[in-house]
Amino acid sequence: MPSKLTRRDLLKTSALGLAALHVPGFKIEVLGQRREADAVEITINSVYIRGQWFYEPSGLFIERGTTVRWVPTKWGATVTAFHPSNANHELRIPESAKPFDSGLIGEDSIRYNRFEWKFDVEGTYDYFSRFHEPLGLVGRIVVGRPGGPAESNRPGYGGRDGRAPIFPAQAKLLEFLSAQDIAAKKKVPYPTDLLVRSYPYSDRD
Amino acid sequence: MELSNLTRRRFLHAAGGVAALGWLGSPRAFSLPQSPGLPRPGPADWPRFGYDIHNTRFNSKETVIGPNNVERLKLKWQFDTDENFVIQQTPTVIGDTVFVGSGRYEYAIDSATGRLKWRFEWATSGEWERTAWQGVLKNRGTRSSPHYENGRIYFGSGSTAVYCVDAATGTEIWRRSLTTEELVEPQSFYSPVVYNGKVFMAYSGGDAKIFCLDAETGNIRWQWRVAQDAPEDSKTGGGSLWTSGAIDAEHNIIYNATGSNKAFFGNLGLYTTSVVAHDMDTGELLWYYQAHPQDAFDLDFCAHPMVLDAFAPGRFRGDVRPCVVAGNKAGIYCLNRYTGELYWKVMLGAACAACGPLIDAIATAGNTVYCQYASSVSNPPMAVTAALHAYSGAIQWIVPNPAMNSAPIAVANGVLYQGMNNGMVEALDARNGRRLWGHQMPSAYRGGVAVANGAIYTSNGEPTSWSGQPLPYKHSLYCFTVDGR
Repeated sequence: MPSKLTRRDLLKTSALGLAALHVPGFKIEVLGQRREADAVEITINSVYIRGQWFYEPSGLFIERGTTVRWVPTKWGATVTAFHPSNANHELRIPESAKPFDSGLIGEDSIRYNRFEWKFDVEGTYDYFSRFHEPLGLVGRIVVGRPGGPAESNRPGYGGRDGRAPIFPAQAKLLEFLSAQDIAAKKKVPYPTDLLVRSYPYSDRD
Repeated sequence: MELSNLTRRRFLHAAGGVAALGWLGSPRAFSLPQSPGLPRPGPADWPRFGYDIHNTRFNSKETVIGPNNVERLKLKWQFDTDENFVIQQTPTVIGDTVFVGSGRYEYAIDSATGRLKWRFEWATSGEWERTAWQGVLKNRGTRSSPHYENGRIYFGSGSTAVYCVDAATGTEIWRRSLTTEELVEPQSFYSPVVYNGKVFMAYSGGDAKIFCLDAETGNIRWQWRVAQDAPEDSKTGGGSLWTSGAIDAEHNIIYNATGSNKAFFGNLGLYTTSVVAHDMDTGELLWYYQAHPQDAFDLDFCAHPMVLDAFAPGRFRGDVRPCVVAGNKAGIYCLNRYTGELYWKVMLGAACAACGPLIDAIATAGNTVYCQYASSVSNPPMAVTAALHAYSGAIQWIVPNPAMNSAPIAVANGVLYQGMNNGMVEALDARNGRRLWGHQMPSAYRGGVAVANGAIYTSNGEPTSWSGQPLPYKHSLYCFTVDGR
């Protein structure tokens, strides 16, 4: 289950009035709110000079029941499970797992907001950002042990069922992020040289 | 090509053409009842961000300060802002009055003495609260230079509101918030351009838009969302407008330059990192030039479009190019302003998200495009000032700068005015880049210079990062005149 507060909950609990809560639809967290101690953090990053957006680490191993918190360093990304309910994407999380979708992770008044999700079902989870698919902003989380559709199907398999296409950069990074490797190393950092665009990309000159 | 290759007759013809364009660009096509106490116009006023609606940042009427006496510029007065807010905009000068905004205020200041005439606090009615996200920045508040037209001042807030204020009294005539949508980092960095009863305005942020408003009422006549390749309900897409529009009155066109793409799909990311041309009456898109499709490199257009006619060097004698010139973080582009065809592009250093002629560090005069150009990622890092031939982009002269730039330049009477992030404001000989004068301000040169009626007006601001501690120095508007008289 997500540990995110709803806007209503937030307004009720925001006794100190620290948050400027004027971004409906955004997942917002009150400044200074106590967080779960066992949350594992993944940052959302971009490096303009290389035209890259990435989750760090890109591959993460956690035990079942762990909460993961995504912390953006720039606004604009989402954390969205590969699931038919998310813009008709192919299923790349365990069949019995609930799909997650952060919505646009923006900025509330003085600090970035975040997204948290608790993983209760074992298996391999692939996720992406709705607004950075051509750039290959994807990540993989292995909960307990690898398994599920993400293990038995290569990226793009849903095309035959009419699912949304997978972009080459997404497929390239997902194929790099071996679940066995993630389970062995616990964290696999973003491979900084895997997805490099020519610079400046597509200059008309 | 060298300026000296032009015959005197040819040069005068060319300069006359440019001057005529400038004159045509400033009609008083609509008139309103005016309050007593309005500023009396001077012989060489600076009425808006880009000087004229062509955005030349070239005061063709200034005759007092020139290469022969600019070295004698002395501080005449200094105006400290309330609450030590930064100044991040070019002042507007009409005769005895200077208009400038800072933080939550818009000021009218006596141009001779620096004394306050009136102060308008725009940040009421919830607009200041809408800039709360800027609390981590040093430059919270207005960054939109005022446009003086028919006794009124038009300017943007730090939120997405645009204000029309009586220039005599500072009384609000109307205000219009351009969006009530909850977007990411909405802000009006754009300086309005007012022409023929219309106010052109824009906001930046996660999902940017260009607007045409009625100058009399503030009602929206048309609006145009930049990042049309991103679904509207995504509330992201980018395409920020960081500068100001330029107008070709004869052909009824407004030109704008857009920022980078913030949401990437299987498309080009139109119309981000582009120069766009719109019909002023209908808002119809006439053409666009996208410098970088799917721009993940943050190569915003950050230097204003400028309307100019470029005259050919000797061997192509007779050819005139109808140009619009604008700069992004990867170069300076000269386009045919009726077709969007690229005439030339010049890079003076490697590109990056903090490189190029930022911000608005271009100006044009006498068949020349002047620019400052920063490239912190070049090896070694480099910052230069250059003069480019307007027809070909050929470098006429180039000089190094000791620090990076992030603010507008200006030209008047043979002198190029510029400044740097280290707080230096300087005067260069526009013919060869020779340094003639300099003054060290306590913090970065961010708002640019207005040159008007024998004085220059400039200010100090800050880079955007901020850790919240009070600063040990003032943010001020400075007036310099020959010998401080």
